[in-house]
Amino acid sequence: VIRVLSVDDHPLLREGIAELIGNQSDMQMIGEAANGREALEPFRKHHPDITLMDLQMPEMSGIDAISAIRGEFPDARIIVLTTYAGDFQVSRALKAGARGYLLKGMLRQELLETIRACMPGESACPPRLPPKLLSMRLTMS
Amino acid sequence: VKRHIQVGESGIGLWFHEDRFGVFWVIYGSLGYIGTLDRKTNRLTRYEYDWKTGTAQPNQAYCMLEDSNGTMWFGTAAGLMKLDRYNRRFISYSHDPDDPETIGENRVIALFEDREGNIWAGLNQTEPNYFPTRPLPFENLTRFSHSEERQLSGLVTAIYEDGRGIVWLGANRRLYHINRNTREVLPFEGIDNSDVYSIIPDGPDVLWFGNAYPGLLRYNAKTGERRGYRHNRGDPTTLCSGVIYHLLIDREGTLWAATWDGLCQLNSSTNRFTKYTPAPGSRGLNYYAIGQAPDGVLWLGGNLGLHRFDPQTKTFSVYTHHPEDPTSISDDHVNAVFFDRSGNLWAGTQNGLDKFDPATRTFKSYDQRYGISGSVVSCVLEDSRGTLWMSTNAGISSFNTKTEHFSNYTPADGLPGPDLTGTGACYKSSRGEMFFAGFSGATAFFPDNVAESPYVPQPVLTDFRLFGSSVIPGRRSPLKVAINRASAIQLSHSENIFSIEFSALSYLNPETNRYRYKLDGIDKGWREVGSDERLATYTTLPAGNYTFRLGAATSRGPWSPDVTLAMKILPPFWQTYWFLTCCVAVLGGILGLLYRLRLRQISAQFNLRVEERVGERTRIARELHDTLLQSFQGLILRLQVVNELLPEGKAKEKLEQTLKRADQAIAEGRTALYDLRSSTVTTNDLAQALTALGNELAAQDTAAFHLVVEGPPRDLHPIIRDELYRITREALRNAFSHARAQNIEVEITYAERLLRLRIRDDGVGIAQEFLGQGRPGHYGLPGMRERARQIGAKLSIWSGAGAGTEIELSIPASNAYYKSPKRSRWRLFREKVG
Repeated sequence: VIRVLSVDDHPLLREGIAELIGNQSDMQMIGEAANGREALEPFRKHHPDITLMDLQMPEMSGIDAISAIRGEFPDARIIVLTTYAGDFQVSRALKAGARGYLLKGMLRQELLETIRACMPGESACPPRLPPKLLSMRLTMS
Repeated sequence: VKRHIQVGESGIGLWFHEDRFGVFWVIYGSLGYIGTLDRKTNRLTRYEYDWKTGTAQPNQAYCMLEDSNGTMWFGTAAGLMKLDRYNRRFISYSHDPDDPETIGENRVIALFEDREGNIWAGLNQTEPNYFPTRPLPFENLTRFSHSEERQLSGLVTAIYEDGRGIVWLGANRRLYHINRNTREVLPFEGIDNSDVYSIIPDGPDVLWFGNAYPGLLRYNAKTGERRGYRHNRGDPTTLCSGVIYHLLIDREGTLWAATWDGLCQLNSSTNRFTKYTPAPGSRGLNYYAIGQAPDGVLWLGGNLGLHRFDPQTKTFSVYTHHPEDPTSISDDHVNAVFFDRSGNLWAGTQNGLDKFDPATRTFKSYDQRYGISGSVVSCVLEDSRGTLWMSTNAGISSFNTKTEHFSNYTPADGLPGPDLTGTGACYKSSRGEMFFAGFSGATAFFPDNVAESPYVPQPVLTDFRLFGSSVIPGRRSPLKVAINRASAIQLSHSENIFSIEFSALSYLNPETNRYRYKLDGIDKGWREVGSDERLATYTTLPAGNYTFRLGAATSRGPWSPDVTLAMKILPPFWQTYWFLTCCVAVLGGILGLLYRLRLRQISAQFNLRVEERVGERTRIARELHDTLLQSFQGLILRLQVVNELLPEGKAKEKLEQTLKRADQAIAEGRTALYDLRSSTVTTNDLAQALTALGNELAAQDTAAFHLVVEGPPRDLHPIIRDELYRITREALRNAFSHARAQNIEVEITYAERLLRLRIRDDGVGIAQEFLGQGRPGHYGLPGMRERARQIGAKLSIWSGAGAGTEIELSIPASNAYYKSPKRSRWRLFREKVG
C-alpha cells in the first residue's frame, strides 16, 4: 500500500485528492496538511511513501517544506503540484529535492500513475516534464 | 568845404558802406570824419556839419547804418544823425535833459535796425534807445516839452475837449486847459483845490463841472458867467452830496448827477435838487457812473451794483453780483455805464466788461478769458465802426463786439502809463477823437489811426530744462545743439519732466508779445500765454513721438508761422519690443516647463494606474487560481472517483466525456488566468525570470543556456516587462524546439538610452521563407513583431540556414524604464509650493 500525504492550502482540492487516493486499493491517505509547516508533523509521524506538495501556500511555502522534509528525511519522495507549466518555482522545487511534479489540471489522469511510478524501484518518476506536457504548453502560449 | 584826403590814411578806425544809391560812405581818420568816396576819381569828400546846439567838437562819428528804407543813420559823439537825402541835409537828434523823449545820451556808438524797422541806438553810458519808425497812435496829453508845466503828474480826474480844440483837464486839484497846437497849459482860475470829476457841455457855450468848487459849477464860456451849487446838509433841496461824480443831461435837458449820496436831479426852473436812492437811507451807497437808455431810463453804476432808475415812476431796480450765478453782473463795483449805438447797455466793472440782456435781465461778462489785459474797466466809448474802447488798469483796450475779442494798448503804443483807471474820465469829440484819463495821465487818439501791427515776430526756443534745470548741449546730453538750433530732441522715459522756454524777436514792447504753443499728441488746442509765461512744462508724458509747436505775435499782430521741435520719448525697457519678446520667451519657457511637469504628472498617474491595473489583475488572477481553479480541480478529482465507481456503461461513458470536457475547460480557464497573471509577477527581475525559463527549457534539451546582463539593472515598466518576457520566451522556445543548437544565449543590456535584449543560438537558423511569416500554426515571428511594435520596441532578426539566429529587441529608455512616481519632480515641486 502506498501511503500518501497531501499538502495543499485548498480544502476542496485536498478533498478531491483524498477521495481519489482513498478509492484506490493500493493507496492510502495517511494525512493532510494546509501548508508546509503543518506538513512536517504528519510526515514525521507517518513517514509517507509519497508526499504531494503544493508550492504556493501560506506560512510555509512548498519549497521551504521540501527543504525541511528533505533535511530530515533525505529519501522522502515528494511530488510537486503546480497550476502552471513552466513555473520557475518548479525548478527550484526540483533542486530542493522534489522527485517530480504534476500539473494540477492533469491530476485526474496522471496523479495515480505518477504516484505509482515514483515508488522505490520504479524509475519512471518524472523529474522531467512528460513530452505531452511540453507540446501542450507550446500550443498554450 | 571839400577836402581831398588820401584813402587809407591812418586813424582810429575805418568804416565804409556803399548804400543802395551807390554812395560809398566812409568814416575815417583819427577824428572820425564822415565822408563819401567817389571811386571813379578816387576822391574823398568830407562832410562837415554845424550842430544846432554846437556842443560837440569835433563831431566824432562812430558808426553808420543804412536802414531798410535806404536812409543813412550815423552815430556820433554829438547824437544821432539822419541823412535827409532829398533835401541833402542831415537831421540831428540830440539829448535834451528836460525832455525824456529825446535820445538819452549824445554819444551814439552802435546802430541797429530790428526786424520791425525800429532803429536802436547803443549809447556809451546809458541803456539803448530806439526810434520807432511808425508814429505812435496814442498822444500823451500830460507831457509838454515847452511849457512850465512840463508834466502833469498823477491822477487826471476829468477830460474834455471843447469846440475850439481846447482840452480841459482836471488834475492836481486844479482844472487846466491845454492848447494842443501851441502846447500851452493854462490853469482855469477860480476852482483851485477841487478835484473835478466830470465835465459836460450843455449847449454850445455852457459847461458843467462836476465836483468843481463849490460842488457843481455851471460855466458859460462865452460870457464867462459862472454859477456854483453847494451841498447843504440841512437843506435837502440843495446839491444832494458833497461828492459829485458823473453828470448827465438827459434828452429833455434835465441835469442828473451820480453822487456819493444817490442820484441827484436839478430842477432847472427852481434851481432846486431832488435826491433819489433805491431804499430810504441806503447807507454807504456811492454812485460813480450814469447813462440814459434809449427808452429814457437812467442806469447808474456804483459800489452796490448796477441800478436802474425809472424817471417816470421814480423806482429803482438793483442788479448785483452773485458768485454762484455766472449770468449775474461780474462785480458789484460798477465803474462805467455805456449805451452803444444799438442801445445795448455795457457796464464796466472791477472784473471786466459786462453786456446786459434786457430780455432775460442777465449779463454776459467779458473778462481776461476774452483777452482783456486789465480787468478793471473804468470808462467806455464807441468808435464809428462800433468798436468799444475802454480804459483799464493795464492801459487801453478795444473790444470788437462781433468777434468778442479784445486788443490791448500799452505805454509802448504811446500811452502815458499803464493805469488809466481812476474816476472814469473819458470823452469822445465830435471829430471822433477819443480821450481817456486816469492815474497814469491822459491820452488822446483817433481810433482809425490805431492800426493793427503788421509785424510778425520770429519765435525762438531759448532754453530746454529737465527737472527744472537747463540742459547744456553736448554729446552726452539729450540736446546735441543749442535749443534754438535743435529740430529734434530725444528723451528717455525717466526724463519726463521738461520745460521749454521761448521768446519772440520783437523788442519794442516785449512785455506785450503773445505766445501760443501746443504739443501735438497731448494738447488738443493752443495754449495762449503772455510774455510773463514763456515756459511750457510737460510732465510724465508716455513714450512716443510729439511735436512742440510755438507761435508768437505782437500785442495785436497776427500769429507767426510755427517753430517746431520734434520730441521723442523713448519707452522704458519694459515696454520695448525686445523686452516683450523676452517676456514672451520666458513665458513660453515656463509654459513649456509646466507642460512637461504636467506630462510627467500624467505619466506618473498613468504609471500609477498601470500599477494598480497590474496589481488588480494579479489579484483577480490569484483569486481565481486559489479558489475557483483549485476547487474545480478538487471537484473533478471527486467526479473521477465517481467515474471509477461507476460500472461500465452508458453513464460511465457520459461522465468520462464530461470529465474530458471539464479538463479542457480547466485548461482554458488556466490559460486565461495565465494571461491575466504575468509570468513575472512573482519577480520584478526580468533576468531572473528569463533564467528560470531558460533553465527549465534547457533541462529537457541538449542545448546549454546562458544569460548575460550588462549594465546596472533598472526597474522596468510592468507591462513592458511582461511583453518582453513573452517575446523572449517565444524566441527561446523557438530556439530550443527547432534550432537544434548547442548554445542558446540571452543578453540583456541596460543602457542609458535603451534596453536591449539579444537572443541568439548557434543552431540551424531559420529558413528564409519562415523569417517573414513564421511557421504556420505557431505563434511565431509575426506575433513577436506585433508585440514589439505595440510596446515601441524594434525587433531585428539575423538568421540564415546553418548560421544560427540572433534576435535583437531594443526599446528606448523612455518607454522601457520605470520611473517611480514618488521620485517625480512634479511631486517635489508641489510639495515645495504646497
